[in-house]
Amino acid sequence: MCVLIHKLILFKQKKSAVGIVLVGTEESKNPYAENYPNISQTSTIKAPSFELISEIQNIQLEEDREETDLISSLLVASALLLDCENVMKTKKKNLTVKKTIYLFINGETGISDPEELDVIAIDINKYNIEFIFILLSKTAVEGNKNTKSEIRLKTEHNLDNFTTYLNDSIILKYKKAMKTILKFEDKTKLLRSTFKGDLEIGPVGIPIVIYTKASKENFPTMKKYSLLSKEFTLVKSERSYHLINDPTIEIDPNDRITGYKYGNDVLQFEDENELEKLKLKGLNRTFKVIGFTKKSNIIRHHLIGGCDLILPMNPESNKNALGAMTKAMHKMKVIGIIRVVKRRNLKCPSLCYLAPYKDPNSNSWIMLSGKLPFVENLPQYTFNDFRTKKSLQPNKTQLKAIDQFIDKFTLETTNEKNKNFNFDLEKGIFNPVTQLFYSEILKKLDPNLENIKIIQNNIKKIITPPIQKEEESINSENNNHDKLLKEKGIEIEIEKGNYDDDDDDDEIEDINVQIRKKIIEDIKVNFNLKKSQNLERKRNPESLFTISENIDLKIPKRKKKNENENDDKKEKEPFQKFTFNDLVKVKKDENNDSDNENLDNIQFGNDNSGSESEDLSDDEDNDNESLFDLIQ
Amino acid sequence: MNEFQNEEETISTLSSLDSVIFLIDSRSSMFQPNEYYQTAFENSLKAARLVMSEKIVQGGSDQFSICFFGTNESKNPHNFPSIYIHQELDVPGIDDIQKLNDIQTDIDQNFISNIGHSTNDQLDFSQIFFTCSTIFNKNTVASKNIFGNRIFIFTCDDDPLKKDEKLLKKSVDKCKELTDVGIEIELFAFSGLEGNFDHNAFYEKIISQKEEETENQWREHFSEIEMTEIDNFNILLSKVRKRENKKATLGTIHLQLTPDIEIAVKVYSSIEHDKKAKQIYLDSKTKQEVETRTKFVEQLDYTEQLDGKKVVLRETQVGQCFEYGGSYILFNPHEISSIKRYGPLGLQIFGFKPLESLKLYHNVGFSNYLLPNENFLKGSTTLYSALYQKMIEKKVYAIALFKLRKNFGLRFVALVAKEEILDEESEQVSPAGIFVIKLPFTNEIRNIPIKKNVEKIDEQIVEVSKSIIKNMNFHFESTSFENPELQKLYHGLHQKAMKINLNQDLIQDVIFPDWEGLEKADDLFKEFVDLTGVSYQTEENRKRNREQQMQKKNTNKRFYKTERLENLKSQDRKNKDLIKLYTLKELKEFLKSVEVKFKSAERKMSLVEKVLEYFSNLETNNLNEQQNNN
Repeated sequence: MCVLIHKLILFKQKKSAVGIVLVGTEESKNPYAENYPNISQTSTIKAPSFELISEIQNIQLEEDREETDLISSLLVASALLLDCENVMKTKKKNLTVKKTIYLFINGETGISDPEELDVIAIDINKYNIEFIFILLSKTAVEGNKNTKSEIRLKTEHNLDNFTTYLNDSIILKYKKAMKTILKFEDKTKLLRSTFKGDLEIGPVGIPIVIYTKASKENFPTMKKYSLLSKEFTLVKSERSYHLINDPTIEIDPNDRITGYKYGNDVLQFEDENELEKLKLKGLNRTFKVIGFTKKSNIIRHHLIGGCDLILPMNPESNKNALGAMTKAMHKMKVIGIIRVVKRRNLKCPSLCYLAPYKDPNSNSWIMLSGKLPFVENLPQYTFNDFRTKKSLQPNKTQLKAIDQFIDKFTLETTNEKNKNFNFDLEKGIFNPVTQLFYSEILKKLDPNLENIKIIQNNIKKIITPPIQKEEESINSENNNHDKLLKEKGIEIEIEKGNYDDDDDDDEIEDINVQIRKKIIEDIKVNFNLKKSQNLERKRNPESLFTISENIDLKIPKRKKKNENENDDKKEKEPFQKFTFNDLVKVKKDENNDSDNENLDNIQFGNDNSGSESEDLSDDEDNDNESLFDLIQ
Repeated sequence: MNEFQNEEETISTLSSLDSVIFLIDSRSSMFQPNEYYQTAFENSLKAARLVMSEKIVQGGSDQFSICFFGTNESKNPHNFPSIYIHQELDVPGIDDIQKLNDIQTDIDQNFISNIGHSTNDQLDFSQIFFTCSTIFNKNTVASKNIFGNRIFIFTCDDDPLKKDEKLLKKSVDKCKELTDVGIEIELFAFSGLEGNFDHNAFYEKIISQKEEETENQWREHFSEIEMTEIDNFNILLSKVRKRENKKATLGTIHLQLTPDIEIAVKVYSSIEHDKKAKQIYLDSKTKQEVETRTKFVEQLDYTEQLDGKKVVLRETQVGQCFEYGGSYILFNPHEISSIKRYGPLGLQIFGFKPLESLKLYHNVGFSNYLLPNENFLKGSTTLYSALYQKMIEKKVYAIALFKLRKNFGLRFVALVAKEEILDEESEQVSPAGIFVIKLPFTNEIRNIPIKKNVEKIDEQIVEVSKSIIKNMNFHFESTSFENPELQKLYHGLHQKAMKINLNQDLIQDVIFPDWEGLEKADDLFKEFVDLTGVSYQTEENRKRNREQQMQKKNTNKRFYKTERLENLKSQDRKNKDLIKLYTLKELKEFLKSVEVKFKSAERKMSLVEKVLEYFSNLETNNLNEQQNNN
């Protein structure tokens, strides 16, 4: 739950509000307390903040009460949401508020009137609220898997019923819920069209709307702060202009004129009108078909990133003109070449393709569009064929080995037999770097947050090749993992409980594993790859597993070397405290002026000298992680 | 081994500069016109000039030299006869281009009478090569950068030594010295004037110096141009261009099939970014170049305590922080870089998938091209080509994790094997090999709800659509369209450099359909409109509508604009804060209207000051006038 709110803070900070309603409390703190007892609201619905998290952490668990009713808690929660919505709407009229209720229950609380569920559901459906029920398994915490109390079974059944009546609801078991919660999805992307207008085919204009389908996302932006000053201060970057020949002379920005380099000379443009003449002007918004061409004329690897989706403006009207055109394009195996200017006064029109696409979900014909390169973007040189040297061409046995390799290393989108060989771009392949970044933020906020390890392991799983995963799991099986379990203690048992074991790894899989091993050996023997000496030098041994643990490894080290002398001084100084007390701590070594100059050197020295010990510690980490893999 | 060393160096410096000597044969045979009144000399000079000026406007910093051989006059450091260095090796400037242009416009006047042909037909090539090596040597001493040195020879004579064995031996020895240092020689031979060009006679011995060179690789350095063809100049130009652009690898990385099996591959970019001449700033007084520096300054609330002094920080003294729930989470630079550097370097294959599952929208960023690097790892080529063959045969692509350099982000990529693609003139459009297509992550693909179409697609409309498509069919090639923005900039800069008045109407945006072709299919379009009920507008109508809309907007705007300008003149004139609210464009317009001068790169605050100054001047003038009147 903490992670969920952290996530809300991360991504929806300004635009969302959260409130907590507790079920089964002794008090009855809610506006409708007369009708719904034993339900209390901890705070008003407000923007997510740290206070809220500390509030959650301060909640004291109470004994189960049989008299509480889940449904009435839902009613209270939805009433609160509606109130909140009304308040918001007074400020801005056309506001659409997405309302979601997450209900965390262990299933031991009952539902009082199971017969009236349908009636209640109809009432609730009016308000367009999304319900997410998360079943925490109390039994799992205690370690007994198979026993479920009667009440739990009953409530589960009732909730199942309830969801069938509701418009928008889902029941998630804890395991599944955590899987989705533990991934940091970026900001909720608003469905905002990038272009509305006509697709012009000659004189015909088909009304269309364009949405972005795929686009590159960047690392989250951050502000700069000073490592030098003792108090937290933001850093602003300022620009200044100097003569290249004499950097001591500063030039006023208003005394500059624009120029272009022309080889060794510089072309001066003192007159602004002259500069304007270099630019392309007067472009109008268009989405115009230049012509159609064979599909094979478009070279896949010449496409420039990003892709748009083109939908008809009003699917009902115009007798699906766009769909018909798309179908015709598909049948003739052609692709349109279009001129696109999405906004007026852009610098340059872009050349795009227009491809027919059948949406698998709705079975309707729509179009995809993306940028094509101009001549200037194509490299001007020719490559020699790598197959010219006949002595280096593969022979039949080598080809056969590769053939088998491809067969046995096929990835599938849904492969229930072997989860290691699953790969679906549309599901669960998040950017590991940004995921790591967000998890590091959580780690900094609350180092004891139990889920961080799981998150970071998941990230590591994403970038581990399936064959390696397989090997790791086999290796860890051979390990004496009872001992390891004991060392890890309770923590692991909890993890084990949360994640149902997949013990279904059949013998078939074992055979497959062996076949794969044999194929790899085949390739090794047949191809006889010889590493040259340069290879080792070239390669950075550290780069393979620079997982975030290394950050922790390095920082204390630097402290040791650097600040042995200053240690006494340091202890007297209190930690710097910012807006929230103990959550954020400034690492003191950066605050010291003298250290900063040597910072780079020292670190470099550390890397060299301590490489051996680092490697060792890395190995240990690997063992632990493979254990996690097994458990999950 | 030599090549391998170069490879390493290019990776480490990353900014390898090229230097090229254009060696142009200037004997009388080069001046024989063909049936289109073109001469080989003129064409080679023109090609050299165009390639040079193209490089300049694209912001390249390659160095060029032009050297004529077989001339009457001589100008070289060793005083060899018949060798004339026209342009020393350097990044060319306006003057250099202008000089070449002058020679080309009047060859008789500027070349033949000044420099002239040599009377001796026999040439000592060892002297020519010696001159070249001194040109290169001078340069490498002067600057420490590593240059990819190349010599481009333009000639139509296949046997310049006239079968003199002694000279041949001397030349070949000298040439070997050059190639040993890594200097490459490219030959552009003109044929069709005096029969065919026989490369066996002399040039093959020069060019094919390397021991392991196979038949094909020697051809790589040899281009033959038929002077009898009408398009010979464009062929020459494109060939010189292709030779001039050196293949620059982005680096060599490892391609791992499994953790134990790996090969070495060179990575090239298959699409390049826009190349533009560098825009710079100059000091308006001294006309010297100005550089921009970024300082990091603490934003202090207690500036008063420090007497308003700014605390300037170095880059290592700045950390980054992330805004989180009203507070900041702090990261030191090391933490951020280790997060950004997360992940293994190189390419790791995860597995294979059938080609159909690679959707068109699975594409972000520019793609790359891989070639095996046998020097790094023996056996790379064999495994690479086996993989290539099998991937094409089985119609699969590989999913891999890609990280080119340490500080580059991780990305999943599709490795797709493609066969070579040639255009109509059998020039390579795309080479054979394995390409890297960058895939989006799950959070980069958006799920857009698409409503189900209630209505079935009318087959009649599909049929009409088909015939429309047939009518608008054309042959598209990746090289079909030029970027109008870049072309306009290039031409503008050329014209400015050559001091021609800027006439930008020459460059037009041509990314439009063929209007005439569309008119023929008018009936089909009308049929389509009748069937579907979509709008029908000819291009003229559209233009008119657009103009009308623009006029409406403009009248509104103009009204608004004049109103605002009036406001500026009447009400807000004294209040600095109010003047700040006007846009940069408005302020500029106002200053233009009252004839106050300002500079092109001037900032808003300075403009605001100027407006204030103008008004205060106006007031004092008015006061003076009033006093005078009184």
